[in-house]
Amino acid sequence: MSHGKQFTFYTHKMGPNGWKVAFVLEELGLSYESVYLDINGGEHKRPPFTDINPNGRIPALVDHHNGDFAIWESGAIILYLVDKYDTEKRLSVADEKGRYHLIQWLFFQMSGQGPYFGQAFWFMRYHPEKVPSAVERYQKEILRVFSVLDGVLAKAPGGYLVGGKPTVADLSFVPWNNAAMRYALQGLEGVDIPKQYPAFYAWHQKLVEREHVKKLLALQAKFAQEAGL
Amino acid sequence: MYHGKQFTLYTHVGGPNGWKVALLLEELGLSYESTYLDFQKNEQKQSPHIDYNPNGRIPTLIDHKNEDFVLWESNAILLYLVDKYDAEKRLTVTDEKEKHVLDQWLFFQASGQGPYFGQYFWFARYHPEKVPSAIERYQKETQRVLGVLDGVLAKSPSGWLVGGKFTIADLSFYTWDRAAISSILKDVEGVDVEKQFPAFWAWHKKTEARDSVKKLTELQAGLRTQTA
Repeated sequence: MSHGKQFTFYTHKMGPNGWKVAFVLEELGLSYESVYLDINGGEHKRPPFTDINPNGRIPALVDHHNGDFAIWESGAIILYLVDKYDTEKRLSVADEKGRYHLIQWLFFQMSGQGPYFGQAFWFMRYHPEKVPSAVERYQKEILRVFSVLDGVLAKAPGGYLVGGKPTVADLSFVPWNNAAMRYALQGLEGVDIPKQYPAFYAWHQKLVEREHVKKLLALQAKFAQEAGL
Repeated sequence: MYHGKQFTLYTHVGGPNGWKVALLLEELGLSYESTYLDFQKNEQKQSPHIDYNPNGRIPTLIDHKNEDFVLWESNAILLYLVDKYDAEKRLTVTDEKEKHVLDQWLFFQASGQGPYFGQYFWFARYHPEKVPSAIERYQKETQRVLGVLDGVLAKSPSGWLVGGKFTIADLSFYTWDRAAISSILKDVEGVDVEKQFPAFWAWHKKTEARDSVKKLTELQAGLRTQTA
């Protein structure tokens, strides 16, 4: 398959973790071909995709300018892209302490945001039986994560997580925060995100107004509409 | 009161992620003082811990030889420790591609293993009602993850995840895998981890035989009897 782009990007039309990486590819001006896998049809759990990612989850990235190097786990892909291709450190930081804080935020997003927000969607939409107490657990955790981010951002220089400027640390939180606010808090009484988490909300709004983020979120929304969601 | 060790490690007697970091500190021969937080009293969500880690989860590390640098998220801590203090790169890799593959395994552990195995414990022990279908979901996912690891390790010539040797990538999985074997999959019908996932089992046992693991397993057992 030769599409002529630098990267082949295995992803999904709605999956937040795919869009997370797409933001970084676009912001860094890198050329990529998106291959949208058919998750409903199990395409992600079969060869050829599982030859690239034995875990069978999106996204995965193949770099044709680096011997067809393949990498999966969106947090790892993001670090690969900034380390190799963000030479001006536009979306990352150069100082040692800042770097590890950036990595810390990526791991918090990957382990403490994504999977927990994802379980909310699982129990809301896909679990074989309705378990309101499970939905409530994960909705509460969404709000707890919002409050953690809000508390940090209220005090953070520049209103960004690391280095006083937007980095991949901030961008990495956008897709799941977006999904949570749009879909996952339904049925919860008394929730007013802009009022209760003002620093968080202002930060999120700044990020989704970025040219490339806005463009990709609009594309994702178009796909969602086409899928009837 | 300063204890004189290089690091302060906020951790927990039972929590796998805390022991994960302690194992690396031992492997690197670094001096550290463990403060075991009492989750029954919610100490992890209170001062002083919450002042260091606004997320209020363990582990949290303070490096007193680096201007009291504070770091949380266990795998970020693992990377910090090897990058800064593993001068011989014994437990990490130096090849450019391998470094990113190592990161990939750390992110898989942190996002695809830990949280999913952890949800089993939530629903099995702490959730306000018994939800067998939720327990089953996380038991199944535990088996799926062991299967992924088994498949990869079976094809690895060295039997390690990256770099042809034991690294923090392998280390990062150990404590939650131990919980999977001893608790999550213990009474599941028809499941025999050693038989079904032989490459995984061999890899897990090799890690288990390391001096650091033996030392901290004994330490943890002693602490558990104290706090029981």
